[in-house]
Amino acid sequence: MNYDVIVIGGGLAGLTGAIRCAEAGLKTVVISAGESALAFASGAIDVFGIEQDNSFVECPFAAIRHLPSTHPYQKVGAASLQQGLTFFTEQMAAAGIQLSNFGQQNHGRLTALGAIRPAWLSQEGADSLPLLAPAEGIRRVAIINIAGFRDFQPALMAAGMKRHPGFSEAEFILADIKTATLNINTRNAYELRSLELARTLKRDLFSQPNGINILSSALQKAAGNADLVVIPSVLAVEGGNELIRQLETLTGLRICEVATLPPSLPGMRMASALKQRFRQLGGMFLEGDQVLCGCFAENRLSSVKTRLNPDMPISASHFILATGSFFSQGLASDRHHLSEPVFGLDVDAPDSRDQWSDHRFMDGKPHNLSHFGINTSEQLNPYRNGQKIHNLYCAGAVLNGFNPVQEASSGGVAIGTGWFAANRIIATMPQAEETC
Amino acid sequence: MRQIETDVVIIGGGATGAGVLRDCAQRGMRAILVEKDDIANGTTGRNHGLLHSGARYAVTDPHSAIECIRENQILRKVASHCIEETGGLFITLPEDELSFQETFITACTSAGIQAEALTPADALRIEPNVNPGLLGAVRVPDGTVDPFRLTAANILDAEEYGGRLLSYTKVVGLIINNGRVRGVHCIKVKTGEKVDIHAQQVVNAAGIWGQQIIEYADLAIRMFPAKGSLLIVDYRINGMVINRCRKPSDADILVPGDTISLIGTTSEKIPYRDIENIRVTPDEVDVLLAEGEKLCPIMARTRVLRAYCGVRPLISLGDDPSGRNISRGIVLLDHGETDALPGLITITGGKLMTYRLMAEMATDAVAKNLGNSKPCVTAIRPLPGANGKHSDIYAPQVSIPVSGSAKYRHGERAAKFLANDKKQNAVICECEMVTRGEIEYAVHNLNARDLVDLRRRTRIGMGPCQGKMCACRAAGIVSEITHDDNGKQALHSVGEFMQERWKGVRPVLWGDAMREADLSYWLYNNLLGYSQLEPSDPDSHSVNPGEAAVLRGEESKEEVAP
Amino acid sequence: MLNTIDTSFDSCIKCTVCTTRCPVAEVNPDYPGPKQAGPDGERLRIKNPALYDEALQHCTNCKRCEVACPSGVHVGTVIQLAKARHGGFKKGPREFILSHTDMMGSLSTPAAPVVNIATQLKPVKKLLDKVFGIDQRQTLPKYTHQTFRRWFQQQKAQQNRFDRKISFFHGCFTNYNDPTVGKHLVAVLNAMNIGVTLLKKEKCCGVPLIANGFFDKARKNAELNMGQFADSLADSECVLATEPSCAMTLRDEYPEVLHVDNHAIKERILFASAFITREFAKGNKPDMTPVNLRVAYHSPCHLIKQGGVIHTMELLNSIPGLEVIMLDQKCCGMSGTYGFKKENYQTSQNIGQGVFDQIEALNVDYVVTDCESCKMQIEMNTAHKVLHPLTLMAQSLA
Repeated sequence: MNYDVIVIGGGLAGLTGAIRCAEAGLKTVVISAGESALAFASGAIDVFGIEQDNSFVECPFAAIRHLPSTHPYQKVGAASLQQGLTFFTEQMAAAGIQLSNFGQQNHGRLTALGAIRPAWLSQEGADSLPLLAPAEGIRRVAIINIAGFRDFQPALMAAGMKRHPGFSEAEFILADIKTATLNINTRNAYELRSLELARTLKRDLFSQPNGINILSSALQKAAGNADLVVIPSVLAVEGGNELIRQLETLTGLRICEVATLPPSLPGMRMASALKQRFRQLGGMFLEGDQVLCGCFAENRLSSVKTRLNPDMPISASHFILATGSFFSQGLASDRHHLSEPVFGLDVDAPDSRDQWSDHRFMDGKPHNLSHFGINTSEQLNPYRNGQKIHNLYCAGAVLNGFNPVQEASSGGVAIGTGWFAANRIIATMPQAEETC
Repeated sequence: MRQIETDVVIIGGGATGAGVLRDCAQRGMRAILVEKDDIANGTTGRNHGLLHSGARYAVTDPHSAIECIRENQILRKVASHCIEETGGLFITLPEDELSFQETFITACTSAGIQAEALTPADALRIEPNVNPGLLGAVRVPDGTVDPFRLTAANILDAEEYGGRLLSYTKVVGLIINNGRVRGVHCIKVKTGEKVDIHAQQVVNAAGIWGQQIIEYADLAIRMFPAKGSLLIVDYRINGMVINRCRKPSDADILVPGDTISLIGTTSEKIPYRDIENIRVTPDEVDVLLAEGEKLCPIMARTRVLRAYCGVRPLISLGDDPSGRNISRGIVLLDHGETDALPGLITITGGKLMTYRLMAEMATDAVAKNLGNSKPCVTAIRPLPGANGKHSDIYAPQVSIPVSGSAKYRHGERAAKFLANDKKQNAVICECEMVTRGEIEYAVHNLNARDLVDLRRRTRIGMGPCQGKMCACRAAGIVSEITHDDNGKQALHSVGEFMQERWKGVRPVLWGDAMREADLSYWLYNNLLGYSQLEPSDPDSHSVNPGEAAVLRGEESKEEVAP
Repeated sequence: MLNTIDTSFDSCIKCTVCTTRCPVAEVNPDYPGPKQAGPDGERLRIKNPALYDEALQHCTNCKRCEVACPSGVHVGTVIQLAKARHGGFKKGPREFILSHTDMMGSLSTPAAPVVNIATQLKPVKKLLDKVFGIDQRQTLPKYTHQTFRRWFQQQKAQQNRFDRKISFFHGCFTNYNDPTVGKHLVAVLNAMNIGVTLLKKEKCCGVPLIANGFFDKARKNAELNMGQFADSLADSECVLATEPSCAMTLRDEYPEVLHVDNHAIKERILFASAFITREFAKGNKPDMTPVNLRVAYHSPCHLIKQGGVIHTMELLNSIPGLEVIMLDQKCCGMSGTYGFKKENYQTSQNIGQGVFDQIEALNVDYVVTDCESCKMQIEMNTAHKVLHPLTLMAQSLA
């Protein structure tokens, strides 16, 4: 089988690139070895939010100019990154998800432990807070759990929020809306995961004509006159943002849903919107298969073999490798080495295991392994045995030279490099329609 | 300063100290145990949890072997819920001398240890993952013991007889009056509060840390610290304990412990000053894996979950550089007799297997000094949970994996929390099937104060995810039921717990363990933003003195057993 | 042999993705979901077999968990093997009847007209419901009077004229119930200058046997079939199947679940659309006339699992005039014999509801799917007729 573009990896970077290619009329397939990291993501897009000294960045596009030349942003460039983010916002809107930003500044995303993480784009259901003054105008915060959901702990979140000087004097109201109030009838509501709870609510509560009113009056009762009401993201996957807006209208409250431990509904929402958009544009999404290796000739990749159909290599003129980090298996490790497992591309990584990580697990300093990844050219072409592969581009967390978590840059790098790679491909393909 | 009055104070919350507390309480003495951390945090919780049949010592140390088989038979009865009678194999590989087998069987037999030679085919049938190249095997009545639950059960029983545990209470000096030890000066680690405990008898059961206690009395004792490292793999790759049929050596025991298997132990002499700062080195990891693969080749393809190490508290009885051929013999010193310092008794040496016997010996000495003539009943009276009747616990809404795991861990006491209550029955730790009810039970009844303590009582966070999915859930519950400072302590303990888990993961950070840790890092620091809450610089956010103490203590805390 | 444990569960990083895709857990709260039933439970079962959970019986082996898993864990296989090890299958007369499809087929086809009338009669359906627990609300598949093999006897001479040949593993349904798809495959391949042969003997691939716990019988079948493949591959290029579950079983379940080694010929056992699109890529494409239809394509679980949707979509997209709308990749709920069982009927319906709703909302001429079991379920629950992709392609040849 022959495609114009094969994208390996169906996460944020891969799908952004794939949608761009499909939109340009290229015959595109995404091969995704299982669900992507979006299922564990916040559903917001961060671009660049934290400096090395742990201070917050207000204007990411200005800040990224000072990054070292090896950083993916220096290869993509600020202008292209911004175009990519605009494109992404439009595509998400086309798939029914409105993303908003906070003028030309980063905003604060509230986490389920009450921390503030800088973000550039957020879904409507997640209330954006001013990054440097998150507590502005908020004196009373209600943190409301839904039906004893075990992956949300209002007390912990309140304790986390109180660490901010702005919230330290705030009044916190903690409550739980009980299963009985919500008509939930299942084996054990206390063990439901976020998605299971959303499905149960859809079946037992929202199927009733007054379902949303039951919820809104319960929220109102629990939250009192709070200036901000925080709830875990468990109400709905599809249409979750609209539901929050409706609840705000019904209650007159300012409501913020926060992503929880996996599965994260805002992240899943984004993943399914991207897949839907890609399919709408005629793309082929092949899930559950895995690229095992490629056929290289004259520093070009001509085809890939997959695990399920190794006898039927799939060929293409261009490829994007967006296989993610270690947990997505874009990078691999054994006792002595770090490597790129699909094509054996050159990675930059010290061999001594002791240097891969730090003694402290999470204290704001990055572990070395988080900036390990594939070495690429200025055009994001990787090297194999020192030779540049001209028709293969790398995007997202598989790249080296950045610290997605410490910098709060995972979303921007994924979108920016996916967009950049797709545009490089489109530029060389005569049949592609230059729409941008 | 708080003053407390009692008959006996016991220093050290390992198995031995807990055993002494129980024994004293059962004989009607008022007793308090002080432990600077949590129970079973020292050597008790950092070994391989092997319920020795004694076979391992039969050739080299017949006296220990006889002690072992005797205690083995007792523990099977009185601590049945902490024990699994897996049986053990001593296998001969091509590089070993098959002739040793005969010496071994003879030695076992004369120590009273049942030892039966098996053909390689029979060994493979009962233990399919054992190295198929084995030349022979001997079956012995080895088993496994969970040191955390064993210690907790002793404390629980002691408390039911009136004994008391003061955990996170560090002894900082002895109260000595007129040439007699009359109690201990303590400090509460978490609050800095000072406490004096006055007692007629002080039992030093502090293991390797016992040297410091003795130094408070200006006496000298020579401890011989030997570091031992072990690895834990993801699941039970072997059903029986597997040893090499040769003289004891490095990394030659593979033990199935609860849901996992572990390989140990290396042995390295270390200076006494280093006992608080031991780490598993990459070389030790390599040795353990290489030797483990010889016992069960599947180990090469199995995820290593974590590494940990402990210090053997041996008293030097000769000049042996390896520290292995030193007798594991029990050392009981009544300092009134040996050093003319009455009121202080040291019990040390020995091993987890003989903790009960050690406790009996120490308590006998205490009883004699106090004129108490009640007999010891610890060899016949079962520990709480070991009363054998848990099949009739009524928990219709709880699935078999959940109720089975609860009964496995707590015996008949599982009835205390396997309630007919959905909220209590909700599974919190999905790898090890720990319910909310079990967590509440451990907090209310088993002295668990935080997540790290909870782990030792319940196994939360000990499975493949290493706490990633359950830390916040459990912290929320602890916060709720202990009415802590509005979640502040609980939030802090999430980070502490993840750090404690990380210490064990870091030495084995490759393959799937790397993937697991990478996901965990992503979730806690990106999705949840934990590092924004607890940045590296301790001055950049307000830390109360108690927290600071915990942070410092944490630095020296090492990895703990499975 | 069946005690062998699939150790892929060791790679599970507890990400919970599998739980989001399980169609059974979505509608049946008694099923603990693939994470608990699979990798989480496996560690416990290895520790102590008594920790086996009866709730594993609810798994339909749809394999969606495996498709979703980013860690390569064979979640479905882990669960099937656990059920086999721990006696987790109920193996009553009903399970025997439903799973021994070839035996029932060979008994029923000679009397097909009578059997077909009987099995549609209310009293008979009631009786099957009462006595065996085969849900009376289900339409039982009809039997054909003339089996595919009988029909094929008359084609032999014609087929022998082609230089290139493939062996066709027709499966039970095509042989005993509805030979249409088999006939269409012959037509399509002939149009591509390829002849068809059958195996001398063919036994059920084993998918219903595995699903109902008859592992020994499934293994026997697998061994017989493997022998037949070896023989027939001497004179033919490859073995093709038109039923996704057959293809998945022959290729993946033989080694993974039944421990029947097929690696020497695995590359030559193919799902039909994979073979056909490979021929297309080589330039062997028959002349096709437009088929001016708008169809909705439903991708069967077991085709997704074997990575075959890409081939069927390629095939459909190559038919001129055909407008193909790909449905969300959801499960129809039938899962072979699962939906026929009385206790599963409601679960099965609830699982499929999403697919039915989506189909009804679209204005399409037909629904297309590769799988006979999906076809039955969709036809029973929507107003649409369901076609096999090869039927459309055969139509386009005319």
